Amino acid sequence: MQGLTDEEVMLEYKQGRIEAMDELLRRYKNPIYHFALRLGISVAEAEEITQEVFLRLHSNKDNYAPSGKFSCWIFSIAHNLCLDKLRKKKWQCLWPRKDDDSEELAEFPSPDPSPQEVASSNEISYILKDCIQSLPFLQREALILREYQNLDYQEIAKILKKSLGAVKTLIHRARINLKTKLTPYIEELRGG
Amino acid sequence: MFKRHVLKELSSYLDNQLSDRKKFRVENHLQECKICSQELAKLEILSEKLKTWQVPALDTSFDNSLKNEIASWELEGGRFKMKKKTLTILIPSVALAGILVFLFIGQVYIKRGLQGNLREGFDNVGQEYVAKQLGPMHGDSSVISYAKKPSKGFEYMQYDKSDELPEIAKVESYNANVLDSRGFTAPTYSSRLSSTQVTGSMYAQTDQGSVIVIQPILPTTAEGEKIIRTAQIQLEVEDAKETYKKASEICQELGGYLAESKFYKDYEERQSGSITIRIPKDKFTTALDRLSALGKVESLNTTSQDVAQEYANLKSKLDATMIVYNKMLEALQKRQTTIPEAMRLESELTPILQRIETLKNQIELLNNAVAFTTVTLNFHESKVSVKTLKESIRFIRESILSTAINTVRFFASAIPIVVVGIAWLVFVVGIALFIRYWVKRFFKHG
Repeated sequence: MQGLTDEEVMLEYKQGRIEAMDELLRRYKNPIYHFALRLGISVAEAEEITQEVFLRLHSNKDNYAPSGKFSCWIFSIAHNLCLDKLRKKKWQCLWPRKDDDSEELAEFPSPDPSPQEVASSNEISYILKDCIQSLPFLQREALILREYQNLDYQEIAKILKKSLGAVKTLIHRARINLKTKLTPYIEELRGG
Repeated sequence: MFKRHVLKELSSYLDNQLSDRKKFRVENHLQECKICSQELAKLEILSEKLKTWQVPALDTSFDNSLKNEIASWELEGGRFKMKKKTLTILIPSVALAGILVFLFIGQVYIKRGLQGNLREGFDNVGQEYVAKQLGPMHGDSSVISYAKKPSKGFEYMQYDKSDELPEIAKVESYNANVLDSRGFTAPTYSSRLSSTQVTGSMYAQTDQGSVIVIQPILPTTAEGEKIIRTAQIQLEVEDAKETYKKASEICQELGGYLAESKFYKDYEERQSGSITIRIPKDKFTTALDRLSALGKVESLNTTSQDVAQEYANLKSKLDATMIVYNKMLEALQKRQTTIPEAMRLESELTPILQRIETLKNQIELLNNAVAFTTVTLNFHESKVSVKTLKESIRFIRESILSTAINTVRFFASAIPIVVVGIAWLVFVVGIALFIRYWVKRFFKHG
């Protein structure tokens, strides 16, 4: 199973081989989970999204036709679910529900840095996270798909349902914005 | 030499997403342009730094949890649970649609109910009828009267012994004459007939609503037998006016005459009426046949009353009185009497003469009742007829239109409230967002 391409594994799963799901999970559960997390979705929600992606994959396996890349298909599902979740979150942020205390706390953290934050404030990953989260959603998503999922521009365009030129622009702007934001923190970026 | 910077292409170059021609051009430019080279270097550093952002991997229990979810999904028959978001949209939409349907049905029901009450009232408002006598219409025997329920436009019309159905006219004014239970006086011929019923009603109705009429078995009448026959037929017809005309024609063709007729219609334009005809006794069965064929027979009652004994008694009394009268007359003619005595005898003869005339009249009436049978035809238009259907469609159209108008009026009246409400909402939300922005900014910067 390991020597097969993603499309072939999916076709195997379509034909009823349960092991194919294990292989798909091995290959894609963490990329999707990380994709959701890096987009700014909480751990619990990212896990929920990952589960939902695989549930949809299972429910739509009969309709699957290997017309495009499998990674495109699965990330398209993840993209749609993340978009839904963030939209919902946006409204919840404006009108937080009383029963979502935990989410409320997550959305409105204390202005004082927590001990963990203080400890990690110097770490570049914390700064990176903060800067990436401050990017516009599409720029953020395009950049994450490129940098962390290693998808080419054509695939990103399909996932985001944008033109190739638009994706190029999104990634370029994301990098410029990120460079500007990170310049105060990264010595190497200051030179020039 | 490439003078133009390739800063915009650097990102794509870094990701190796340029075409060969563009890649060649960028590479050539980078060899000579320090600015672009430095920019590329920064982007490379940035890309390396981005890779340092590590996120935790998924819990190992995820696989099992997912498989359980898939198993439960399969057990549920492969249906996704309806999302809360969908429900939040679906439930109010269904509720709104339900309210609109309820309002529409309610309006239709109220209108229908109102009409139903009025119709029900019509059936029981004998005492409420008021009539205006408009005077003779067809000769001295025709009387037309109109009745109208005071609250609604119900029209009623009655006329006697008239061959033609006059056009229904609008009531111009009322007087306060309250008539009997149906608003009419009973026909004189029926009041004279005593009720010794001989035969009963005979009809049968099948499941499909078609009626098989069983003709009454009439007693054979020997020559000289005195039997008075009456019949009542109840019909459901498509067109009451047409039925009335046909019944009149049948009556004329059979050598009978129209004794009484009533014709009325309610404000739903559903017509009904009754017609009483006198038919020669030998045409009685034919009349029943032909009248029954005019519509769907709901009931057919026949009665026979043997008046032979009464006739014989009257005849005997008349004969006896005639003998007395003749003898007294003979005695008066033979005897030589004085004037006072003659006057006394004549005064004695006068009551006898009156009695003879009365008896003759009674015998004549009996002869007439025996010679002509009485058939009363009651007819009404069916509730579900083409006409009723058209009326219903018209009513539904009017209801829909009325509902639409009311809805438009409602929303039109609500527009100012909505506009003001939205303005306030925008204002309040704007203020809230502004405050939120400043609060966040305050906490962020210090």
